[in-house]
Amino acid sequence: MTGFLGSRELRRLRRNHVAVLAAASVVALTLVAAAAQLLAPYSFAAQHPDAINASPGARFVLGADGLGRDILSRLLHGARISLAVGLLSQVLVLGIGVPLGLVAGYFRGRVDAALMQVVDVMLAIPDLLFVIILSTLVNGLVAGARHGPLLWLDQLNRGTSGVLVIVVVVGLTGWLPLARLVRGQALSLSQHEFVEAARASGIRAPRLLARHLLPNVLDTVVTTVALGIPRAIFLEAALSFLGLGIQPPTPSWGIMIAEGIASMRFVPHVVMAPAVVLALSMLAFNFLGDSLRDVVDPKLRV
Amino acid sequence: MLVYVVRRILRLVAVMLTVYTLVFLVAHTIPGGPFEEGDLPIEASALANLRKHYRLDQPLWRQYVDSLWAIVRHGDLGPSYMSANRSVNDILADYVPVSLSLGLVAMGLAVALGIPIGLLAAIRRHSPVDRAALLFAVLGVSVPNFVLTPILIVGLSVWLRWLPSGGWAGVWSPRVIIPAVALAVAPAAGLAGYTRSAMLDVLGADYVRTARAKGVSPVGVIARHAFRNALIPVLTIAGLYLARVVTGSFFVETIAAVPGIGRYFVTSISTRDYPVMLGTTLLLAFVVASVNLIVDLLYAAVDPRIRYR
Repeated sequence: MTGFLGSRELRRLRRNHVAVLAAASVVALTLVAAAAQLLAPYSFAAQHPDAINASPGARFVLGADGLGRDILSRLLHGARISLAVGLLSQVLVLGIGVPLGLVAGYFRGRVDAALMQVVDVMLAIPDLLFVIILSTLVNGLVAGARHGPLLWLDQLNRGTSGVLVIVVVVGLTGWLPLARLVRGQALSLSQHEFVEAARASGIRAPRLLARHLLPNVLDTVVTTVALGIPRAIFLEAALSFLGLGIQPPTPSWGIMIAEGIASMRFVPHVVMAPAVVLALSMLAFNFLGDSLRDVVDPKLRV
Repeated sequence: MLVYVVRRILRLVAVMLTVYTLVFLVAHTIPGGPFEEGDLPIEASALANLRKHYRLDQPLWRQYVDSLWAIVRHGDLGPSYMSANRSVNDILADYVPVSLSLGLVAMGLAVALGIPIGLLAAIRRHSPVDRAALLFAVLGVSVPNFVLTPILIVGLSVWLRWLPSGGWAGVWSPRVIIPAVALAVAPAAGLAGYTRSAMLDVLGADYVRTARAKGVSPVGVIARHAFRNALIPVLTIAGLYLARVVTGSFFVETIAAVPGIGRYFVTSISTRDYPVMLGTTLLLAFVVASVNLIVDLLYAAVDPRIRYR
């Protein structure tokens, strides 16, 4: 049993040119998003009435949108939103999926059976449909709160322009496949002799799970979570596109696409810029996730 | 087998109940519902009548049971909030046929594109064809259709002026091309990847080696021995991709101005017409869940090695 991503796996990953390119793009995207405030030539909300739908040029590198806002600056800030949702939602996915999967797989029995029934039922609901309904519900509950913890969540959600609700919804629907994978591995690992030995040494169950099972499922966890990031970025853009996600004027790539579509027949560059950036980011994350999976477990390859 | 069928049907019921409950919660627990006092410039008595008409004056559990019973008994999804005098069933009957024909064209295109690409990639493994197919598989899954649709419209109709930029005139009109391609790419990519790996599995199997050894021609081995066996798992996966076509239609229909149920669904989100939103959700979830059930049962019937647990 090796730990997480040994040197052999890393070497194989480095030899894969696509993986290296994808990783470089992800790093570049992260840096650009982190430095958005410094790099953006204008404020993302500043309107220039003399430059409505301006074409790309010296003043606005990627042009301006229908309200005369600089598209480049909005793209840069949109990258922050995408990455924030991508990473934060995976924290929630990890926090729910890993413990539930480990406990179900190790203890088995009724809890396991019940949990897997729930997971199977929830996985049978089309992902995007599930997320749309859930986010309508959570948005409504949070926005209508008059007191208690929901009111506090509402303030936090407004403060983050809607990121909080998206993270919660994407996280609450994203742990299902991870829990199932971890449960399967924990189930087979618990038959191994080293687990038997650990149990015989009188170790308590929580410690056994954390010290002996967890390190052995890390590979699966990392690859699943890596592929969860593009899913989250996609869902944020989709929800924002539908008006259920990020609240304007904060830019999100999904909102920019929705706004650009209204005028795409006359000023195509307004929709093309966010569309291309979103597609390239999704590609980079998916290629990286796929390569990680190939390296860690060639059998999982589809 | 019977136990398996019963279990799968129970699962379908559980899925639909979960969706119904979620959907009910959306319609009824969100504060500031459609007919609250003070929201509309209508007299209190008229508002009370409206609430009575939509049965919003009943206790919550009563509404839950009643509308569930109406759906199960008569397939009645209730009245729409926004379109007066129109029931959700009327609206679905108007818009679903368009989405259905668009979806069928897209699924046909996905199968016609994805399976041959995957097949070629597996036969010419490690060749440029294979690498291009793998690229297509990741590309198609990565590029969301609300990105692909505007790119296709801008490229093919705004810049090149080859195709009309939107609208609907039946499946034989060239207007169908852009939305159908936009919907088909993701399932085609998935099918290509899946066909490739299923073929590679089969090509490594002993009976294929036996066929080769006894002198069957290379084309014969692939056509008669390998492809047929690889196709079974691939076709069951095709059922799963239906969910992508269904949910993809929200964006593609909205952007390409196709008057289908996906577009209407998106409108119902922004107008907060909860009954329409919920009726559509229930219908789509039901279609996807039952297709998956049928596919699983067919798979079990076709392949005797499947264990029924």
